[in-house]
Amino acid sequence: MISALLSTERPLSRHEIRERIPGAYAESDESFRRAFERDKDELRALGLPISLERIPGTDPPLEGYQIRQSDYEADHPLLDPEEIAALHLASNLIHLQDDDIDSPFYKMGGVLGDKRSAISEIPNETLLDVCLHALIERSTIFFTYKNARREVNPIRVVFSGSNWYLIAYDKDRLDVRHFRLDRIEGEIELTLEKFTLHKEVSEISQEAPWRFGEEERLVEFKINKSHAAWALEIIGETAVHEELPDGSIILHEVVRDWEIFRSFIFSFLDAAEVMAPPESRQDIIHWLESMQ
Amino acid sequence: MTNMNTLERIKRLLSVLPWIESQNGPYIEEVSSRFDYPQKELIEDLENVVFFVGVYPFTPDCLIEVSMTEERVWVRYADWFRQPMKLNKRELASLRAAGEALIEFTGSLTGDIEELGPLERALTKLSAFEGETENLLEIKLATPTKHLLEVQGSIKDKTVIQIEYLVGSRSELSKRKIEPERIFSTGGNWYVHAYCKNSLLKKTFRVDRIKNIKILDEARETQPDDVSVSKDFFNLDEFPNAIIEISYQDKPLLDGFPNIEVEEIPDEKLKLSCPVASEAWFKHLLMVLGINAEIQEVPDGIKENIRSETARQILNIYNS
Repeated sequence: MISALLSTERPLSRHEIRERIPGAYAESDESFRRAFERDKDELRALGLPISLERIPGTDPPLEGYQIRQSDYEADHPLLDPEEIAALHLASNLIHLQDDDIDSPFYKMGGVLGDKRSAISEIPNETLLDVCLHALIERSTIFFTYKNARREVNPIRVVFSGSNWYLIAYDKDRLDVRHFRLDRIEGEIELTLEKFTLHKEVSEISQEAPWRFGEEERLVEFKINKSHAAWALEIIGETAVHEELPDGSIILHEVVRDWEIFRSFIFSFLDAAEVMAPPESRQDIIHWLESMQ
Repeated sequence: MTNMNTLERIKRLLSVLPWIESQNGPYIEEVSSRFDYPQKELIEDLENVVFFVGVYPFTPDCLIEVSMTEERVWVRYADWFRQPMKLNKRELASLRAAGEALIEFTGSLTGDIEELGPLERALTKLSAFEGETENLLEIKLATPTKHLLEVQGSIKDKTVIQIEYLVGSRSELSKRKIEPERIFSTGGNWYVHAYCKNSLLKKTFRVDRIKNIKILDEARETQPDDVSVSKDFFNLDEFPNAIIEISYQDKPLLDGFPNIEVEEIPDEKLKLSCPVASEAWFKHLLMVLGINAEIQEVPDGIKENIRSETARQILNIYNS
């Protein structure tokens, strides 16, 4: 069927296809129709661009199937074997979970070389595919985020830390916003509305996650000598406010998401103490007292 | 080699045919290894499937001609299969994202610059093909930490190193001799999988908790595992499991605990299966989840009252 659809110069009706692949389908029209529909769907699922078009010169108009060479044939730039091998290595080292690493490489002529184990296995996320689809098709999308309905034009999908983010232009807020995919409530709705790509892209920063949020507070906390180096590795030397004689340090940190910061503080167990502001210190004490 | 079903074989053949046609009688062994196509199936498919493929009106010049010797294969008259299938945009986006992330990572270290040449060339070609547009997909790996480069150097040069490692549960630095096998990044952190000569076990260490590294003048005792078969970085099955239930609205508290398996259960609740790698890790998790988390099962050797005891220990510093 693939060669029949590729070699034809005009769309072929279902029955013409049956004639051109003799012996492949049953004589009975009904079982032929079912088998043909199944095969067509399977080939489409493989990525074959089978189009449904009007057969020229038919009256009343009839529709037929065809694979246009221009839709089918590879047009990617020619990469030399070294370049393909390097790209293959990168795809192996940084692997998107559930992605078929090898399929694009077969299209490029296959690869010789060892498989390498990944240095980073990037987790899949349910909404990733629909976001990428919207990006590829330049479709405006709707979804619910923080209890509000958003209408956005996607700009880019970014994996950072352990989360997937959608950078998009929010059409109601008239600004670029970052949305964490796992915080989108329910489904993403694709629309037929098309947009032109927004030029300005604000970067997803690799900064600590408690630095993103609405309300800002300056937190002062103390870390014991045993954990000081580790804390500095995460927060940075600039946060040091004071070094105490026993080797412990006092740090100042701007916190915009208190809940995330509290979780971080607990990773030090009894080697960290929140000193100020009083409401933050109280919150930690209440939280711990409830568990006593 | 992978086992393929009929559809996968068709898809693979559509890539194999144009390649064979473009070569002057390639060796069957090379075709098989290049396309991960088991040799027996490849010969069978070329002889029994492709050989009968043709187009209307099925005169000899409309049939694909396949000829094979013991070692080599030729394909002719496959005009309508002269090109492989297009790379779709999703495939292009993934390729570019992986390539760009690797360049950024390697560029932030040093040493392997000479290996980047072909990768950079490939990415430049793909980017030009897409009209110099920014890629739709971007992957940012964890920022390399101070000792990552030295650990990577040890893997490359197969040295034994002594590390000072911060053990959360004892709030102290412990000295260990390790033989690093590989590094990886997950959940925003870098890890090293290594043979630990102190415990005689292969373990995973967080690179940001390594405080000091000394290269030792010793020979390695172990060989790296065959990593191409193991998918799971942490061998989570090795760890005892704790079961905790939390309400659905507390899900954001699980940020930073990527290895917990989460299952939705009735009453808007979540059931968490937690691989307990260390007591300190478990204490941290319990403190984060708070009083509303219902602890259903704790691993052997961990006290039933671990939550209240840990909360009291931390409260001590606030009351002193």
